[in-house]
Amino acid sequence: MRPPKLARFLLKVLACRRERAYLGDVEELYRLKIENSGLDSADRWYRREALHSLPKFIIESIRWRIIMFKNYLKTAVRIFFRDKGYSFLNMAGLAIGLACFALLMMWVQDEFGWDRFHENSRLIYRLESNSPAQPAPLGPHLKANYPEIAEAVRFYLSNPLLVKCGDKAFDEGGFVLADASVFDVFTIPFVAGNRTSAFADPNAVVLTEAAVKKYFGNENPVGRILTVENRFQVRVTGIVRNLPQNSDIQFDVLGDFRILGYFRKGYETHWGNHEYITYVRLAAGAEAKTVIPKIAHIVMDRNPELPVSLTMMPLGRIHLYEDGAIKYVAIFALVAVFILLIAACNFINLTTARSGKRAKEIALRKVVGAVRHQLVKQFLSESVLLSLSAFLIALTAVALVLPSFDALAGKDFSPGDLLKPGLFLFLLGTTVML
Amino acid sequence: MEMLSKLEELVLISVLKLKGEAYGTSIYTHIVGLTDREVTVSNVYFPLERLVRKGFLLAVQGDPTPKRGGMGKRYYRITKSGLAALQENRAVNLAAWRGVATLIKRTEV
Repeated sequence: MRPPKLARFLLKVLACRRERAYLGDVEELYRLKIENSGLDSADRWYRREALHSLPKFIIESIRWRIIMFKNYLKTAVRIFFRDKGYSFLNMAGLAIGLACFALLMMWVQDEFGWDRFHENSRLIYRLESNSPAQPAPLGPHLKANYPEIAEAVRFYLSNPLLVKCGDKAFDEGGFVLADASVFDVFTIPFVAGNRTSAFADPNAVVLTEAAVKKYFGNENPVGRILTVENRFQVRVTGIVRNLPQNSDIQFDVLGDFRILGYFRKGYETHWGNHEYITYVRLAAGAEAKTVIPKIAHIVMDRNPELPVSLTMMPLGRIHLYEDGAIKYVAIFALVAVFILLIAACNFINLTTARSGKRAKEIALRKVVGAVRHQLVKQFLSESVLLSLSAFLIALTAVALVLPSFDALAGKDFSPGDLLKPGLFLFLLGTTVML
Repeated sequence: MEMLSKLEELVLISVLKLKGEAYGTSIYTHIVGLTDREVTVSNVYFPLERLVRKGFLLAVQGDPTPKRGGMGKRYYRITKSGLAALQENRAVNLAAWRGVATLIKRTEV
């Protein structure tokens, strides 16, 4: 003589302890129905009752949740202000820990993002022999003879050059030459001009926004002439967005590689001069490990006195592994995790140490009828609240110290970067869990 | 004055009529007897609790019995303000319904 299982279960779950009288009424009526009109009709009645009551109980339980949450909130605020010194210490400790963690993680993330902003960064490799500098004919030779290599671009990093613009003259340290394919290999967004026509004419240069400001102020530079070393003139054909700080490729003035003719006569066919950093973009689907054996011998063949074999270094690995940054990244990531751990331990310790003081409150709550899971919920929401406020304070702190941090770390973060990564949700989650 | 919903009104009247024997099951049975419409127990239970919160009813917990799956009865008693509210609502109802019967008879649709 049991009511239908599912309906009974639903009612039991939804109509919790508060609604015991209701459950009793339903039970009693169910038995009455069985006596009066038989089991089937009683079961049907019971199911109908459960189904129709469902939404009401759900609304009721939500209402209670809100009421109880308000109470927890009130208690949390009162407890916080009852012992200002302690609460401040606790929260500040957590906030500072979080802020340090956030700063370090931002740095780590930035290091990992080094050079990865290029759309094809996974396909870009730097050619290496015993050094990253290669002979000039290598790039075009690779592109012409190996279908796996979709593009090759050579860079020439010039010594500082005297650049004149009207009556202004600058000792330009950021003068770099590159093949027109530079815009096909790397993602360099244009502000003015476009990537197909920028290097159509051999005496063309593009400037970064910062360089435009330096040479021309607020005037439009496109089509203007710059005089280099009093020897030749170049025409500005475009403006490109400033390069991110975490990029291996840096320049103020980027000129067509053919300008090199002014400095190195006959460079196009000279295999003996290792001077040009060369990047290749592989065709989609090509793999470096199959390409490397095919190209390894090229330089050696033409330069028997220099027996070095050619390999390729993935762009994403250059900064982290070649330049050794990965060591620092690992160290700082570890430090960040430990700081967070210490902050969390400190938070837990302080909270636990104080729990004795709240025995009275717990006792009273139990007398009034709180059950275990309600108390757990209360304390959980309290610490969640506390860590949430600490989190907000940490965010503010990070935003405030960011400029000096940038100067220290040589980075270029904006406070907006803080809101971007989902990392902080994860971090918040861990704190809350603790 | 406090306007009562139809169900609240019915529930309040039932409690008044059932005197000392007003608890969930008896109130429910009473209301089911009054209406042809299908009423659920929760339809009665929630108005009851709302009336308790408003102070129109007083609830007293009874002892659990095996017949009720070990759950106690919750007896309800009407309060002074409950009586007053009922009085007021009755006056409103009477005023509203005055002449309606003849109107229904005369009106053609």
